[in-house]
Amino acid sequence: MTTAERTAAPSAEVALADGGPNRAAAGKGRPSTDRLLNALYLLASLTLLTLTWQFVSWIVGADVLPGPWASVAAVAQSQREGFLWSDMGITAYRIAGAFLIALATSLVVGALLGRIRIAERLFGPWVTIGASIPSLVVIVVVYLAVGIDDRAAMIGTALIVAPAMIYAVWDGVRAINPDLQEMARTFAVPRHIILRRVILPQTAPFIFTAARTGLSLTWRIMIFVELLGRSSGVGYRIQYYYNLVDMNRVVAAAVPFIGLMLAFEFVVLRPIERFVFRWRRSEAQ
Amino acid sequence: MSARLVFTDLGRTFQSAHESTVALKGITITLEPDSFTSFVGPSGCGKSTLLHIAAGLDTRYDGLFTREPANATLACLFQQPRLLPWQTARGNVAFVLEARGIARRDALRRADGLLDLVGLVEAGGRFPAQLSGGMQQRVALARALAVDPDLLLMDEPFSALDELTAARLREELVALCTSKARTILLVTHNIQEACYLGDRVIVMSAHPGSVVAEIAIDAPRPRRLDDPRLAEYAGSVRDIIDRCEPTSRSRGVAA
Repeated sequence: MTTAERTAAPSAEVALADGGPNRAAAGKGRPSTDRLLNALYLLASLTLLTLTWQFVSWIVGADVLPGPWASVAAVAQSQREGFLWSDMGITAYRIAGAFLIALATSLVVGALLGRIRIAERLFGPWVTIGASIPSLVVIVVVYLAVGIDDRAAMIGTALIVAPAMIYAVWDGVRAINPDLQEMARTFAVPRHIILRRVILPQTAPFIFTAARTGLSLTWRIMIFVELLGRSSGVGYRIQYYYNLVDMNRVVAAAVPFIGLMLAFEFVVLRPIERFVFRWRRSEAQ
Repeated sequence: MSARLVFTDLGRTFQSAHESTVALKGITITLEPDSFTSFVGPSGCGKSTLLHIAAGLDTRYDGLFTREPANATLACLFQQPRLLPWQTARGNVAFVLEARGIARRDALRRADGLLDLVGLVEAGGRFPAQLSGGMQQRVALARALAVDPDLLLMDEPFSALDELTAARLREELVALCTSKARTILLVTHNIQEACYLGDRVIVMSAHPGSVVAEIAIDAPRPRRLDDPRLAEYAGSVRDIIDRCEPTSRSRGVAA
């Protein structure tokens, strides 16, 4: 299961609560009871997931999928042996690098494709083709071309992730409403202010979507990239223990990073999103 | 200083890959300073194109168009309020002031005053999505007044509102906009509205968009919507439109 899929269930519940009984209060800060309710739902969801995990572990056997407790114990063991944090650190570093490359690429390419008709016609199909190249081919070619190092891992991952992000930015640029620009022009608003205060805010939701899907995709791809050509990081550790058929340690390698990604989603992304797009929440009224 | 608009033999042709459409042809008309001119006509008569040219949004016209003084302050009221959805009501009004170099705090303070003027001071902190259509259009009106325009252009500003809200907003518009000398251009397909608001009604016909009549509305202000003289003017405007296009009633000209 992926990070995105794991977060899908709680986010659906949060969204329901958003549109539900507290609609009238939207945009003015939410009553604390609603926050409590959301937190309880999230807790219930996570508990249910843990129980399901335990159940599946029973069905397929603990030697294939270790249960939650065994996994936590294995994480603790990795920590005692001293490579838990260094693995996570190096993987996080590679993910950050790949993500930034992919984000910068998608912003530039998406903006060009969305704004310039000839660029869209000539290079639009390239994005589709790029999206359909098998990830493995990209990784292998980049490793051979650049050398088997962290730089190649970042570039390869970025190339695989970029098409999906380009699509999101491209859509956002196309969705810019010319009516608002027209309004600003009649009021003699200078061009740089139109760009900053009329055009950019319209694309912000799409850039946010691009960043979010891009980040979760980057993490999933990076594991493969590490597995294929790096001798450190979460992906390497998974491969190493898989070869030793130590499934406890395989799961233990992945779990802390999943936790880190989830924490990033809930502690960083969600609050930012909530604040930046607070004007959208009331739209259903 | 109130603005003067002069259109001389103005034309506008839209080219597409397969055909060219003449939206405006041979428009010669002057809008004097401190006058309220309504343009009325069926859909496709080019009245919105004319407004776009007057607003400086469309410069690919033939003939001559001058705006005196050239640096006259402009404000627009559109059919849709065209508010920035991520800005509050006061943020939207303040936006056009900030774009003119006024500091945010001063701009917001002035925005509050303007929202008070249109009866929306309590809604200042709300986002457009939290306001009704009528309230949104009021914010747009406050925004237009914020720049204290010499020239106010309006493109069917009431047609997306229910009739009760529209009637109230029309009255407020007259009270707020005519208190100071400014040139106002209104484009509408509502004949009654054109006569009720304008000092002069310009009747246009389509294919190609051209002026077929000019009628001075000689009724004292403040006007009443049920003034029989206005009804008479509206009747003659309707006759003119019907004569030009016998089927125009079925083409969306409101009686």
